[in-house]
Amino acid sequence: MTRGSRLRSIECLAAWVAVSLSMASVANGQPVERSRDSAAEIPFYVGQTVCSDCHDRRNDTTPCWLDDIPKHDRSYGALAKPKAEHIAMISGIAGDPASSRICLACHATGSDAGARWQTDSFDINDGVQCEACHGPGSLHVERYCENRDTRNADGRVGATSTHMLTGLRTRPVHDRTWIQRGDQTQCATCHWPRSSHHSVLELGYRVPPADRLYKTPVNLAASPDGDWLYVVCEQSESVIVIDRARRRVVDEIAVGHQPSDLGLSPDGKVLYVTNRLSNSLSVIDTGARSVLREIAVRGEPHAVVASKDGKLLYLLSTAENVVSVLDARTLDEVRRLVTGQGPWSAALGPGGDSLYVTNVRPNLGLFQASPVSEITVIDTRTSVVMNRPVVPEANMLQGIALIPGSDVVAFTLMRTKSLVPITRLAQGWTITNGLGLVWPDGRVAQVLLDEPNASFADLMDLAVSPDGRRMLVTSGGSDRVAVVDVGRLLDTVHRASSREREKVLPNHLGMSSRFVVKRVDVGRNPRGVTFSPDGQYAYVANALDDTISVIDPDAADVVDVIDLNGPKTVTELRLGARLFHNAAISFGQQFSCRSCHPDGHVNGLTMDIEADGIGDSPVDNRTLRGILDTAPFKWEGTNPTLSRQCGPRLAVFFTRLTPYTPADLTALVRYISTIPRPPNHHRDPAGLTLSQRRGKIVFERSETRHGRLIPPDQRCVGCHSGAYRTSRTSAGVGTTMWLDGEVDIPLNDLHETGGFGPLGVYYFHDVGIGMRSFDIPHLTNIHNSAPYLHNGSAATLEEIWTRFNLWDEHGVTGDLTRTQFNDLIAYLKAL
Amino acid sequence: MPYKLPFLDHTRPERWCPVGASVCRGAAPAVATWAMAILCANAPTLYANAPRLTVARLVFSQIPVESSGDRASGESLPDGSRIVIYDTSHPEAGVVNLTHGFAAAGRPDLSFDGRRMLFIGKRRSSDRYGVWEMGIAADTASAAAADITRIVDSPWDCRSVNYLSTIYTIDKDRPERLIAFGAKDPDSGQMAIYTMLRKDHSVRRITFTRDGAFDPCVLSDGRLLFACWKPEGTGTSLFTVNTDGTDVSAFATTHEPSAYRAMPCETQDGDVVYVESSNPVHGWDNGGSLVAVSRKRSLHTRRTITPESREGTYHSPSAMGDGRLLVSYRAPASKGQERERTYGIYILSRTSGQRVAAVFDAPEWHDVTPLVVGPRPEPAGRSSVVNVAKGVGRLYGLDAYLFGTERADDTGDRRIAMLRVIGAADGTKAREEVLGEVPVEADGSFFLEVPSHTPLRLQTLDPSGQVLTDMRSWIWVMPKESRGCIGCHEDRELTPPNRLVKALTAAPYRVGLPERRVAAPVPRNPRREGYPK
Repeated sequence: MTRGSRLRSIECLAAWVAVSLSMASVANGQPVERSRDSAAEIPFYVGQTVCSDCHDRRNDTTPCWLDDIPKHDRSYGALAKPKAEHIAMISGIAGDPASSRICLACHATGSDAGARWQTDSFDINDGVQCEACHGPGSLHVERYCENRDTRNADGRVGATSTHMLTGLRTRPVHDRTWIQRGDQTQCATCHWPRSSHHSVLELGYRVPPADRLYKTPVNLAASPDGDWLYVVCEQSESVIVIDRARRRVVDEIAVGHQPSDLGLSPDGKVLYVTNRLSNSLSVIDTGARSVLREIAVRGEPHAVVASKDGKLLYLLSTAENVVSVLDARTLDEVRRLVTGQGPWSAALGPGGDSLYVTNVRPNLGLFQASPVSEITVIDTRTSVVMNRPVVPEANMLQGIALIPGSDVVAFTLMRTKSLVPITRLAQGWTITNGLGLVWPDGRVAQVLLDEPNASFADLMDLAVSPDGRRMLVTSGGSDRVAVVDVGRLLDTVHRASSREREKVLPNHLGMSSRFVVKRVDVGRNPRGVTFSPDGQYAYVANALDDTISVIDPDAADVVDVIDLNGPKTVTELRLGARLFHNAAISFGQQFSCRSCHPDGHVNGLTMDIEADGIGDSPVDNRTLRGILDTAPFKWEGTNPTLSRQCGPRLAVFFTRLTPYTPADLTALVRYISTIPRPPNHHRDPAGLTLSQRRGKIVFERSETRHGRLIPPDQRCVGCHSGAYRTSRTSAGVGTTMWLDGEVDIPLNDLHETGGFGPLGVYYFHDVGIGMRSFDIPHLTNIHNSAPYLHNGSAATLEEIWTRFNLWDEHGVTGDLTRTQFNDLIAYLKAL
Repeated sequence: MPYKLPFLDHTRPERWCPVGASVCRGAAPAVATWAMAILCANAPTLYANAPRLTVARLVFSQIPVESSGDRASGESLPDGSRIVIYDTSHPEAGVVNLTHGFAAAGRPDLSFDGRRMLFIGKRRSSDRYGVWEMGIAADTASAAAADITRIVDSPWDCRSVNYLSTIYTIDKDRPERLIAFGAKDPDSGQMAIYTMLRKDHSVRRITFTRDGAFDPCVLSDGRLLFACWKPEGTGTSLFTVNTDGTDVSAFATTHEPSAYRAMPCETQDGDVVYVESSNPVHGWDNGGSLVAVSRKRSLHTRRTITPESREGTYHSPSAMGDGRLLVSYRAPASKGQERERTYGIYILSRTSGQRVAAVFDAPEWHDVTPLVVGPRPEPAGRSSVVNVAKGVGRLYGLDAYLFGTERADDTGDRRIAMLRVIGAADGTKAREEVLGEVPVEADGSFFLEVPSHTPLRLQTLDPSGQVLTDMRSWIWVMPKESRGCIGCHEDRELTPPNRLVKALTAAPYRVGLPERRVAAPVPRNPRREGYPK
C-alpha cells in the first residue's frame, strides 16, 4: 500500500469513526441537535382553491404557466378511463389506477404524502395543481401570506426560496417564502416517454379478455374426509372446488387478489386463503362454499397453517418476515414472530407441537459470503420461536412437509453458486436443486434432485404420502414431478458420514439415482402438490395450463388430468408466463427466469456474471416487479429496454442456448412488465406517518442542517425523482470497489485487510481513481429487496449510508441526526 | 414432440413374419435380396411380434468389399464407395445411387427436416474428400437428380460431416446455422473437428486434442460428442464439446487403455449408443459391440446392448424414432468361407439386444452408416462468448486438492505449490513444451490466462518442484472462453462448492503468451482487462 493511500484510508476510517460516535451519542440519549419534529412545522397540501385566494390569474403579477394547460386539471379524471386500466395492468400496477401511488404521482398532487397530509380544502379531482410543483402550501399560507409586507420588492412569490428545511435548521420566517420555487425542470419528472403509455395510447394495445380468465392453480389441499379438493387459483382469484371421486369441478369461490396458499381447519369446515396482492385472509365456510370473512393483514401473506387443535392460525407474511399468530375464532393477532427472510411455506412438525417455516431468501449475511438460509421452528404450544436451524449454501427454501412416522421434516431448496463465476452451466455449475431434511435437534442434511446433465429446476412444493413411503416433489421449471422413495432417501442420508453429509451429498448430481423412483411428466409449471387422505393419489396443480394431474404414487405415473376450464387459447401474456417459468431456456434445463426471480422478485443474492469480467465482480439481483417504466436496465444502465435486457445477452452470458425468437421475447417482456408490485406494508393507506413525512423532507432537502447548499446531484431527490424515484440515468456514488472489474487498483496485496475500508472493501475515490457510474435504481418497495447497492454490499438500507457513504457522495447524509436519519429510512421504506 | 418413424406401422401388432408381409408381397424374385432370405429363414425365432415394415426410405453408404483402410484415420471410403437410397416399400426397385460421378462418397447425414443430405466425397480419386450437400427428393427415383453443391473444399480432407443447429454470438443479429465436419488438419495432419457457418462458409477448428478427434455426433442439448484417441494411442474415449469449441468434457471413458469407443448416436429417450471394442482391429471398420449410456449420467450408466462375442460385429448405429436402432451388422466369417461377410442393415432392439428385422444387405457391398429419411427433432441451438479476435482464454481451478469426492492432504510435501502448464503448440507430441509454472493459492485455486487453440495439460508440483499429479488428457480454451474446473480429477458428478476462491480475487497469471512471464507472473493486481459489458 502506498503511503498516500494508507493515509487516506486512515482518514476514511477516522471519518467513519466520527460518524459512528455521532450516532452513538444520539443513541446514548444525547442528540447532537434535536430535530424540530413537530407536525406543525410540516406543511400540508391545501389545494388550488386556497392558492387562488391570493393568486388570482387576472391580478397576480406572477402568472403560472400551468394555467395555460387545462389538461392538468383533467389528469386525475383520466385514471378512470378504460385505457388507464390497460396501462396499469401492463406495467405491474395492481388494482385501480386511481388509487395507485405510481399513477397518482403524475396524475394528481400530493399523492406521495397521502391524504393524511391534505387539508379539507384539497381536492384530488383537481388533478395536477399548484402544489404539484410548489410543494405543500399550508405554511406558506399561514405565515407568508399573512405577512405580505415581506413580499419581494418585485412582488414575486418564492423568488428566493429553495426547499423546505423544516426540522433541519431554524431560520427567520422573513427569509422564507415557505414554499418551493416551481420551475419547468420538474415537468420532466412526469413528462417523458413511457413504454406503458405508448403501448396503449399510441399502439392501441389492449389486454386480451382471455388473460382475465385463466385460472393459474398454484396450491391445493384435500378435505380431511377426502371428498373434496380445494385449488387456489392465482389469476382467477378464486378457490375451485373439485369433487375428488368424479374428478370434476363443482364450484368456484371468489377470494382476494392473487391468492397464494390455503390452509384447512383440522375438521375441514373452514378454509383459509392468503391473498398476497390485497393483503388479506379469506375465511371460507367449506360447507356453504362461501366466504365468511376477509380480514386485512399485511406484508404479502403467503401461507397459512392451522394449529393441530385449530385454535390458532399461523400466517406467513413474506414481505414483512414475520409469522402472525392469529386467534382462529376472532382472527385477532395475538403474537408476531420474526422469521428468516421471506417466509414462504410452513408445516406442522412431529405431533403438531411445532411449526417449521421455510424462508425463500437467505439470511442477511456478510458481503461475498456463501448464503445461509433458515428454517424457523416455532413452538406451537407457546407460540415462540424455539430454533432457527440454518441450511448452509442454500436459498429458495419453499415447499415443506413432515415425513409421517418420523421426526424428520423435508423441504425443497436451491443451491445457487453465487460466488462461482457464471462461465459455464455444465456439471451443476450455476444452480442446483434439491431437498433438505431437518431433525428436531436442528440437524440439517441436503441432497440434490438434479442429474448430471439434466437439472430438475425450480422445486416448488413437496408432499409426503400418509404412510411416509412416497414423496412427490414438483419441478416448476422442468414440468415434472419426482417420485421419491422416502426410505431410500433417509437411508442415503443415514449411511453417509458427517463429512459426506456436509460436502458430498449436497453437491453430488448422481445421488438422486439412489432414491428417485421416477420423474413423471405433468402439465406446465407444476407448483402445489398434495396427497389424498388415503394416500391413494396425489394431485399436482399445473399453473400454466390450468389443469390438475392425478398421480398414482405407487405406479409413479399420471392416471388422469382434471381440467379447470381455463381458456384454451394461449395469449401473448400466457406464453410469456410459460417462458418465464420454464428452464428449457437454459443449457441442461438448469434454471428459468424464475429461478432468480421468485414471484418476479429477488432471491437476495449477488452473482458474478461473465460479461463483467470473471474474477470477483458481483452484481446485485434486482426485482422485476413493476419495472416496465424504469428503464434503463442493468446496473450499468446500458440496456434501454427490457427486450435488450432479456434478449441475446441473456442467452450468451446466462442461458448458453439460442436467444428467444422475436415473438417469444415480446411475450416474455409483456409478461415481465405485468408482474405486479405488491402493496407496501410500511405505507399507511391514509398517507405517510409523521416520521415518514419528516423523512420525505430530508429526502427532498436542498440544504444541510448547517445551512450549506447541497448540490442538486447530491440531493436524494436529485437522482431519485418522479413516480418511481429514479431519474433514469447513471451516477457515481462512491461505491466503486476493488472488485468492480474495470478499476485499476494500486494496492500491493488485496488480502491485506488494513488496506481496505471498514467492510474489507476498498474505496477508490481517495486515491484519485474515478468512480464508476451505476444505474440509478427505482426505489419502489425498496424495503423488500435487500441487499443493496450495485454489488449487494449493503445488507440493509441503513448500511448504504452508515458504511458506504463516508464522503457524502451518495447524497449528503453526514450531517443528519439519528432521528433525521431514521426518518429518512422510514420514508424510504414507505416508497 | 416425439415423432414416429414413418415406416413402422404400429397399428398392426399381430405376430409378424416377413414372409407374406407387405415388405415381401411386392418383391419380385429378381430383386429379392439376401436380406429376404435371412428374414425368411429366421423369422419364426427372431422376429416374433415385430412390427410390420410399411413405408420407409433409408440412405446409407456402400463400400466395396475389396476395400481396406483405417476408418479412424479417415481411410474408410475407398474408391467406389457410394451413397444409396433404398425404399423398403418398394424393394423391387433396389437401391438408387445418389452419388453418381463421385470417385468415392459416404458418411451421409440428413437435415432435421429430412429433405437434404450432407456427405463427404470426392469427384476424382486424387482429390481430397470434401463436404457436399444434396437434396433428397420426395420420391426415390428422382433423388439422384437433386442438386449437389460442394460445401467444404480444400485444404481440408474431410472424413465426416454433421448438421448442427444454430449458434449465436453477441455481434450477430440472429442465430446462424452450422455444420460440423471431421477432417485432417492441413498443417499437423491430426484428425480434428471443425464447424462451418452456413451463411459465410467460415470455418473454425473446435477440437485441439493432441491425439486426434473424430466421429462427431450432435446431442440433443446442442453439444458435440466425439471420439478421441487416448494419450497411449491404443484406445479411444468419448468427449463432449460445445459447438464453439468450449468446455470440452469427458463423456464416456474408462481406464482400460485399449478400449475403443466410436460412432456414437443419441436416441430420442436420451440414451447414447456407441460401438465399443475391447480389442479393436484397426481395419477399415473398427466394428464391435453396442453399448449404451444415459446422456444424463454417462459416466455411471454403461450397459452392454450386444455382448461382444463371436456373433459378429456392429457398426454405425443410428436412432429410429421408436427407440430402436438402425445398425450395420456382419456375422463372423465361417470356416471355409471364401471371403468375409459383409455388413448389412438391421433393426435392433435396445432392450433385448436382438436384431428384430433385417432391412437390407447386398453381398458385394458393406452397407454402413444407415439413416432413416425423415424429419427428426432439431438439437438445441447454442450461444457463444468466443471471440476469435482475442487470441487468449482463461483457465481457473477452484480447488486443485479435490480428487474424487475427497480433498487431498494440503500440508508438507503434499502441498501444491505450483502449477505447471504444458502445451503442444501444433498438436504434435514432438512439440510438447512447458509453457510456464504459476503459484497455486493456499485454498487450491489458480487463475491463468493462456493461449487459445492450444492443447494443454497441467501438472501440480510440490514445494520442491516434484510432480504430484499429472494430467493425462488434453484440454484447451477458446478465445475469450473462461474455462472453469472444480478440482483435479474430481468426481465428475460433483458440483462446485459455493465459495469465493482466492485466485479469482486477483488478475490471472499470463502463461505461454507472447509477453511470456513464465514463473515470473505479472504483479498481483495489474489492470484488469474488463470485458465489454
